[in-house]
Amino acid sequence: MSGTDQRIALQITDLNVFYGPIHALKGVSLAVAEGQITTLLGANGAGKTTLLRTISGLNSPSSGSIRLFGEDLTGDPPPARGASIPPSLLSLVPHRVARVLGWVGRPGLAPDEIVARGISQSPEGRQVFPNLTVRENLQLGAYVRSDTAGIAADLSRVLGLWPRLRERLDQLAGTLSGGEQQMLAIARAMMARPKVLLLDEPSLGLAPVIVAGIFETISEINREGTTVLLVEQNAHLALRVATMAYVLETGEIQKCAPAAELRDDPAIRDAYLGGGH
Amino acid sequence: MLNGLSLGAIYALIALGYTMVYGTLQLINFAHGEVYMIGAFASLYLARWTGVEENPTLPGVALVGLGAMIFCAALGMTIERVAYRPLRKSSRLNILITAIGVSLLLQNLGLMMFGAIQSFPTLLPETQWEPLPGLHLRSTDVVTLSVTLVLMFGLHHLVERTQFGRAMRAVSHSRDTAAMMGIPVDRVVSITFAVGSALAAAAALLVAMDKHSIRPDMGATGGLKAFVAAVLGGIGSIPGAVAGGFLLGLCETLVSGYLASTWRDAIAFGVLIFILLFRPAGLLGRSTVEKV
Ligand SMILES: Nc1ncnc2c1ncn2[C@@H]1O[C@H](COP(=O)(O)OP(=O)(O)OP(=O)(O)O)[C@@H](O)[C@H]1O
Ligand SMILES: [Mg+2]
Repeated sequence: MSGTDQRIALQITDLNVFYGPIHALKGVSLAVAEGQITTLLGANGAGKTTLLRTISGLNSPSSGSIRLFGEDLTGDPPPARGASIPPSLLSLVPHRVARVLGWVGRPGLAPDEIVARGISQSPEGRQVFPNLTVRENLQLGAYVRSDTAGIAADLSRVLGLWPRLRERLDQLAGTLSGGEQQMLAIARAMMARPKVLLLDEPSLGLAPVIVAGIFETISEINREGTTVLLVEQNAHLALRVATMAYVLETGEIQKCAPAAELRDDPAIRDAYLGGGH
Repeated sequence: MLNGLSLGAIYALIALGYTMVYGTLQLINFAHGEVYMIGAFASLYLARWTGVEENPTLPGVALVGLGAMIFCAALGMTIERVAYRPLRKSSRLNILITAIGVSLLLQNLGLMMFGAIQSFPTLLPETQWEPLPGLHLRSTDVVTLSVTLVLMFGLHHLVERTQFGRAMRAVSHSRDTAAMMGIPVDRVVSITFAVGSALAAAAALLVAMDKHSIRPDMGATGGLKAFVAAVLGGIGSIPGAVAGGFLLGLCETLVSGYLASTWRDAIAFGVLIFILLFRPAGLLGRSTVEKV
């Protein structure tokens, strides 16, 4: 499966992200091969969500790069000359002017540009829009698209994958069960027709049967051609569907190996598989 | 009764701007009342420059209204861009103080540029009928109510039926999640300011045509009442702003009809305090915040 001829869909190189003084990602490098499911495992607070938010353009890295099929999504680091300018003043100045003055570097892509390039995300905690119907949530997933026919085709495709959602199309998303909300969050991300789908802990807080069903669908989506980066604490299931696996610990990649190898790794078993599984 | 409704319609139109901005940014845009005031003066000068003042026709008045709405939409977007967006990540107290500052700035600019009170020309013929004994209809009230209804249906359509409206509701739930879905949050916020400001401009023209006088401090009182209406209905809720506006308008009119009109404001705020005691989130506001 993991041949060397595989194209890299998403290449993350030496990424550093700070929250104020907190160094949340410390030089993270990671590659997601096209057509595969790559999983990122890690305990609470390891930095998994931070990485996915950074890929989606919601956090800006202080250094490092994120490339989608070779295209750099991140900007240049701010030049030294800009460091003394207060940020609130900077935001008053039109970006082009600030760049000419050398106050700011080339900006990273905005979140909507990143979605348009082909990366969409099912966020941690599902985050469906509770005050909108299931249909409206799905329509928003396709916000960056304008190909009406393609959107309609993708709508029937995700409703084929999750018939439960079809039955509840005109129901408010806030009234769905947790499992249904997770299905909707993934379906909504699929409506962007992503090249790379980011999933942040889709098993969070759900009963094992539901989780099994969701993982089955994730595999199916992947078989149909979508590349997946799956963030999980449930290592047992994630290692079963993934090809490659990374382990993140306090902001650093501790391990990178084929998933099959980690399944039999006693250290991983003790740390993430909770012994009993 | 009908003038209570038309007063309520005005409060509702202005309240919509407060509530929509609060819905998307959790920010009380104190400058909104001043946008309303500037809408009135923009209408006056537009009517003067275009000759609609001397020679008023219905299409002419409609064009003046449209012009004032566009002007205020641009003003609202500028305020957001210059005063609020740079502070998007600052503390709420800083933003609140900025909002008050912008409001004072615009009010004083208004005083400098427009002087004191100015009279507003009669743009539409004004008549009164008595279709039923005891029921007096004033044409200005009918105009105010019909224009308000059209604008509210337009807004309802925008918010409930268009992709932009869905995006607005998504941003009001979570800016981060909306951004993750590819919604250009800054643009949505900007257009929200534009729409709210345009509605305030329409309200201003309607009030000016009814009262025939406009003044640079009209935004302070009118804005405050409309803000009360928005809170009354549940700030952040669009139907709430409409309900709160009409409720406040009716209350005030009934109070000045049956008691002295000096009681008007006292009663208005009394109603506010009373309702908030029992429904802290307002009449139609959501009392709980959904999280996960
Ligand atoms: N907005 C924030 N401000 C400050 N610190 C933050 C913020 N978000 C996350 N952090 C910190 O960054 C680190 C990584 O958090 P992150 O949410 O990425 O972890 P995670 O691996 O997703 O954890 P979990 O499994 O609990 O979801 C944590 O120490 C967290 O406290
Ligand atoms: Mg997380």
